[in-house]
Amino acid sequence: MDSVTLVRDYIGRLEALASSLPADRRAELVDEVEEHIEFALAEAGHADEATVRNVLDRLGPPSDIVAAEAGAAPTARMTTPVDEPLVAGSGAISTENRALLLLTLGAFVLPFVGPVLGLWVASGSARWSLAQKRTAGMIVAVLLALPVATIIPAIVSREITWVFSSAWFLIPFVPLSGLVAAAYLIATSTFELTVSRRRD
Amino acid sequence: MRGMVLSSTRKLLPELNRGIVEHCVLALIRDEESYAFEIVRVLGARGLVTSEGTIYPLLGRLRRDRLVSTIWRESDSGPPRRYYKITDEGRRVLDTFVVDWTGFRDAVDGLLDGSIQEGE
Repeated sequence: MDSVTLVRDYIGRLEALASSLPADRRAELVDEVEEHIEFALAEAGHADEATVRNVLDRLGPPSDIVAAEAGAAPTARMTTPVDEPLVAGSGAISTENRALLLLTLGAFVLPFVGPVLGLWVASGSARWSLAQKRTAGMIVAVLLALPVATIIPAIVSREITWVFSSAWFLIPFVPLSGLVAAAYLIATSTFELTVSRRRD
Repeated sequence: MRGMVLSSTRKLLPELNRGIVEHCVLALIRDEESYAFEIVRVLGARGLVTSEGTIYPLLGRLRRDRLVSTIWRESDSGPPRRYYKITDEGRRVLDTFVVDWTGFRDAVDGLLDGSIQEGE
């Protein structure tokens, strides 16, 4: 087997085994391992079969890497609840808490805009998976769709009284979109923590 | 007999490593930021990791737990590298570990070399 095939085969096995991980984390992990191989081969100065085999041997079997990801030993921090205080160590509010604030409080203070900003902030979170972020986005989109389609055109054409007389039942959906998305994110994070704790 | 000792050694080391290597990484970057490949090499050279690849899940965990922060830096040779830096929270966790570990190590050492006797 030539060097390129060896590496491709190794990465292929890693990808297959890592399929149980959240998509964004899997991509990141595979990228990091690929980069490691590149660095190691660059350091060696050549990429003949023996060198590649040595690099891959040192990396260990892909199953070891995935097992380390899945059955991870918790660090000291993980034993504290996931809903950490608003003020993190450095004095800054964490990405997750900023997103939750925008989804909840923001949905009232900045109707329509707050939850969307919240989703944008949430997309930068390392703790929430891509699937979680997508679902939260879907929740906001679905719950905001009708109000956006009816209330905003009414406001634009200055028929606010019509909103209150005929479309009043849509008004609660405006803050609700953010609240439900926030509740979903909190609930799934707590659930994942419980599951991962049980596994340990 | 020999086979038994060897197999128990193999089982024991990963068990010992669990949770300890994390703190070794924090100690490695306590004074100076470093990148994954370098961290792996230092730990590997000291026999602290057997499968070098397992360091990446560990680094991911440290990032998620915000014990380290990362920054991408251009490199003279090859693609940009992700540098790891300890956070204030990471420092606190490391300080606690140093105290715990020192006590634990002394207790085990004492028992192993027989300086602590039963009933003492």
